[in-house]
This record gives sequence, C-alpha cells and structure tokens, in this order.
Amino acid sequence: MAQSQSTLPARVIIIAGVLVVALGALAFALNQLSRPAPLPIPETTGEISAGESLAPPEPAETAVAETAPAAAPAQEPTELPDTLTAQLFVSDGSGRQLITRIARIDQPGTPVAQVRAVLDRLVATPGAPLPDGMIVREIWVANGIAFLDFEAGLADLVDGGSRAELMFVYSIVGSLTGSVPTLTAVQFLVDGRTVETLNGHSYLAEPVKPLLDWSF
Amino acid sequence: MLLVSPSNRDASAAASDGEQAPVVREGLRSIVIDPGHGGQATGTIAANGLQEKAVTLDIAIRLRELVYRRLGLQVQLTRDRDLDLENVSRTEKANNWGADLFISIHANGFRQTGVRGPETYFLSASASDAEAREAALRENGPDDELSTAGAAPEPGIEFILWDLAQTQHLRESSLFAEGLQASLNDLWRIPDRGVKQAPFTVLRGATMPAVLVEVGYLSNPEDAAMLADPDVRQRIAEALFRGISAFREQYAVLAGAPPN
Repeated sequence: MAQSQSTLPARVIIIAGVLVVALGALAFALNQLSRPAPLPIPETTGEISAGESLAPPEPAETAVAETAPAAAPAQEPTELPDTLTAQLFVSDGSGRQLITRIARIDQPGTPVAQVRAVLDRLVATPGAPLPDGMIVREIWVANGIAFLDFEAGLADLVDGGSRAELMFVYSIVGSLTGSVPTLTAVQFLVDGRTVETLNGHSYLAEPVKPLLDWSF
Repeated sequence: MLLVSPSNRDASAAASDGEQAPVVREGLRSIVIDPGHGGQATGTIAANGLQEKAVTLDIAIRLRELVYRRLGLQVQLTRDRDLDLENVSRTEKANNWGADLFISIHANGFRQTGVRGPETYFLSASASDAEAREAALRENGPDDELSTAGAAPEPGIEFILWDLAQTQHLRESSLFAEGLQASLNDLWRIPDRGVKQAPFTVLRGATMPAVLVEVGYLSNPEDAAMLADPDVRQRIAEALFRGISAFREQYAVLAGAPPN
C-alpha cells in the first residue's frame, strides 16, 4: 500500500511530462502550417567582368570543327558528373554565323555556378562576340531561365549594328542553354530592369530561347 | 484597284457552280517606310563619322519619292526628320494606317570589320509565340471586326484567325525579303549574305508583311565609303524600289494561294 502510494505521484509526473512535450510539438506543427510558404530564393552570384576571368586559367578546351551546334541535353542527370561539358558559341572567321567550341569545366555544382562558369569561359574564348568592359552584376536561375543582370551602359558597349547585337545575344543564349542542362532561356536585364532592346534590334523584354538556325 | 488572281478566277468559277466563294484582295496600295533609329539613337557609327540614323533617313526619303512617283502607292515614313521614335510606335503607325507593307531600313555594324554587304530579315518564327499572339489580340480587342456578331468570338477562333494571318504574313514577308535581297545583291556583286530570320523588336506586332533591310555595314570601310556617296544611296533606294515593285506583282497573286 505504501508502495502504491509512493509510485502514484511519479506516474502522474511522467504522464504530465509526456503531455507537455506532445502539446509543445503540436503547437510547433500548427505554427509552421499557418505561416506562408517562403518565396523561392534564387541562387545568386557576384559580378563577372569581360576583362577578368573568374574561371581557372587553364581551360581544358578543345576546338571543334565548324558544325551546327547540337541541342542541349534533354534531361538533368540525377548525379552530377565531375565535369561540365560547355558548348561555347562564338563567331566564325567570316562573321556570318555562330559556331561551337567545346570546353570541359570542373563541375561547378549548382545551376548558378554552372552559368557563372560557362559565361566566364565564354568571355575567355577567342571569337566570343562579347564587348570589352561587359560586367554581369548578378546571376540567378528560376524556372529554367537564367537571369543575367548587366551593369548599366551595356548598350553603349555592344556595337550599334544588328549583327553585333544578334551575335552578342545568341552567343550567350546558345552557350548557356547548350551547356547548363536545366536552362531553356535567358532573360537579359540591365541595371536590374528588363529592356525592350539594346540598340533597337533584338527583342529582349522576354526570355530569349535558342535558335534553330545560328547563321544570321 | 481590286485585283483577282488567276487562282481567284478559278475560285470564282467554282463559286458559280455553287462550290467555294471567291477569295479576292485589294492589290498593294500602301507602304510604310521606317528609317531606322533617329534622335539620340544614332545607330552604328562608321569610322568616317557617318551615322546610321542619317543614312537610313536619306535612303528612306529617296525611296518614298520613287514608290510614290513610279508606282502611285500611298507612302508614309515613320519619321521624316531626325527625331527619337520608340520602336513600338513604328509598327503601330503602320497598323493604325492600315498599310499593306512595312519596310524598316538599317545599316549594319560588327566588330569584324571585314564583314560587308546587304542583308534582309523578316521576323523569326520564335517571335510568333503565345505572348505575341496575346499582345496582338489585346490590340484587336472586342471592338474590332472580328466581334461584329454581337458577342466576342471564342478565344480559340481568334487565335486561329490570328495565326492564319501571321502565317500568311510570314510567307509574304519571306517573299518580299527574297526580292529585296536579290535586288541589293545586283548592286553589291559580292557573295549573297542571304535572307535571314531574327526576332527584331521593330517587326513584332506588324499586321502586314514586314521586313528589315540592312543596306551594308558601316563598320566595313568599303561599305561605309559607298554609303557616304549620295549617288550610291540613290542606287540603293532604286534597288529597294525594284524589290517593292516585284513584290507588288506577287502580292495580288498570293491572295488566293492557301498558306503552307
């Protein structure tokens, strides 16, 4: 009897403790459910300058015959390979079309890091129709679109002709969508804003998709 | 000037037998010529100081005279002097005026200064995407002639009609571009740089056959020297005129041809 009298308060204390823990867990769960879903935070990266290479200085690059660029890989691999095979779209010797050069880059990892690495390698590739002094302030990726925010004054850097503008735009679009498996288009921004066009030629207010024919 | 093409005459004969109604269209009556750039938008600038906006305006004015005097077409320029003009307002002017044809004149530029010669573009198919269609439908709202039956038609019908019109316009733009490029090639006598497609902002939204022609490269010393010469600019205008004249003959015939 004395034993039962002595054990009863202990059981009550244990049950009460369990109830307190359970109620606490329930309250936490309800609190989480009632909060709004967090906005997707795009992966971002810092600035890229056409004059400075952020990539390793020794690219494992192989020139490829002047052939029509291949389509981007259809599916994202479940496990990233050790290297990223980049298709770099550069002007051919005649200036008539974009051709591809292949570069193998140490796997950057995230899509933003892949975009950054491909852009950086493109800047350093001979024949890239990118202007000197071009600076990408910020990069982020969302919904298969790479957003490139260029520093103000980009239009002045890109030569005023339609060929210069087309080559600039599609060199970047081809290189990124042809190299980063998750990308389908590129949105060009200048100083944080969308622009209709750079110098009155290519329409840039919407994401730009790759072309079927790279000669223009 | 109501023209009936041979294929339309066939259609008329068929209609008399109680089959298909004839399809007829007015011949080419009007054209809008757009001198590229203007005002603060100089366009590309040659090493000799020649500015694209000045070259395009000069050729456009010369072309206007030729088209008006020799073909009797109604002609409007999007600008007749050096002024700033938004790209969207260029095709808006053509649309609002109900022009049958739109030609935007530019001069090119590229860092590889050896590149030279004329090029002619029409809108790439990728620009005829859903957004562009929706934009066009917004412009052709429920007050337009598609909605005269008292109620707005189903969006699907509007899309189909718009798409058919765009397909026809692209086909005609391609033909127009081919004729212009061939005519310019006669002037340059260098390997043909060809007709190309690109998503040019100035061609988006045009509700008629529309092309953009690049009359040489200001970044190339030889082309820049040619474009600095008024006599050459006159010959370029005449080459463009021949392209327009040839397309005028094709235009009515195309009316009865089914789109591909």
